[in-house]
Amino acid sequence: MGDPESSNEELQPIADIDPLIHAPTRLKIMAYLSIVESADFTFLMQQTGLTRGNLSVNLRKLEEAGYVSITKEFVDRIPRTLIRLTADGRQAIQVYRDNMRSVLDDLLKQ
Amino acid sequence: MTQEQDFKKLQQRTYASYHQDGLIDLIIGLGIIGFGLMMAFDSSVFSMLSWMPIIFYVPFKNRITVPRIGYVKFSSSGVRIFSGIFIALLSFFLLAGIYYFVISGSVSPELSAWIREYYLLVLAIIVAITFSSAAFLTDITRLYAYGLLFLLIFATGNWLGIEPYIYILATGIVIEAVGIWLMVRFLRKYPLPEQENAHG
Repeated sequence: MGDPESSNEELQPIADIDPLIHAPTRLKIMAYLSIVESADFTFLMQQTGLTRGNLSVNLRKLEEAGYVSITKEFVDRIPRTLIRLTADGRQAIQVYRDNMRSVLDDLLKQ
Repeated sequence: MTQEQDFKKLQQRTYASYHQDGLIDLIIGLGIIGFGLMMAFDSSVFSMLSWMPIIFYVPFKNRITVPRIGYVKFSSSGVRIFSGIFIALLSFFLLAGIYYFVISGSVSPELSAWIREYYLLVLAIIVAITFSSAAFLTDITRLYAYGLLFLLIFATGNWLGIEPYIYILATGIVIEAVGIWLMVRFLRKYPLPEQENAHG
C-alpha cells in the first residue's frame, strides 16, 4: 500500500480540473468561445453540433458560474443572442488547459 | 499534437468555415472582371466594378451568411489586422521594388527589358504571392489555387499572345464561377432557419 499523502499529491492535478468545464459539451462551448471575441447562439449551435435545448442548458450553467456573459441585442429589428467569455471564463479555460497538460504529462512520465 | 496546435487548428477551421459562403470569391472575381473590362473598353466606368463590390461585403454577409450560420466576431488581438497589413505591405514593396529597379536602371538592361515586356506576368507573380500569403495567414486554402490560377492563365495568355484583357477576364470569370458554386452549395447546405429557431 502506498503512502496516502504522496498519492494525494500525485492526484492533485486531477483534483484541480474544473468539473464544470471538463464536461464534453461545455468544453466544446468554452473552446469555441475562447478562440473568438463573441458569437451568437446560431453560430455556436452550428459549430458545436449541439441542439438548441442542450446548448441553452449548458450556457446557463456557464453563465451561472460567471464564465460566459449572454446579452441580447437587436440588429435590423432581429434579436441576436450574443455570447462571450468573461475574464473569469478566459482564466478558467487557461487554467483547465494547464491542468490537463500537467495531468497528461504526468501520465506519460509514468 | 499539442493543445496550442489544437486550438490554433480549431481557430483556423472556424475562420475558414465562416468564409465557405463564397462571398470573398464573388467579390474578388467581380473586381478582376471590372479590371478586365476597364482594360477592354479603356473606360474608367468599369473601374468602379473593381472596387464597388467591397462595399457590399458586410451587408451581404449580414443578409446571407449570418442568418444561416450565425454571427461571430473573431478576436481582434491584432493577428488578423497584422495579417492584412502584412499582405498589403508585401504587395506594395514587391511592386515598388520592381518599379524602382526598372526605372533606376539598377538591373541589367536585359532584365529591365524582360520586365517591361512581361509586366503582366510580373504582376501575376505578385498577385500569386499575395494570394498565397493570404491563404497561409487565413487558412482559406482555395486562395492558393487562385494564386496558381493567376500564374497559369497569365503565363498561357502571354505565351499564346492573347490580348491581356481576355485572360484577365478569364481569370475573373473562373473565380466568379467558383464563388457562385460555393454560394449555391452554402445556400443548399444551410437553408434559412425558422425565425424562432434562429436565436436562443
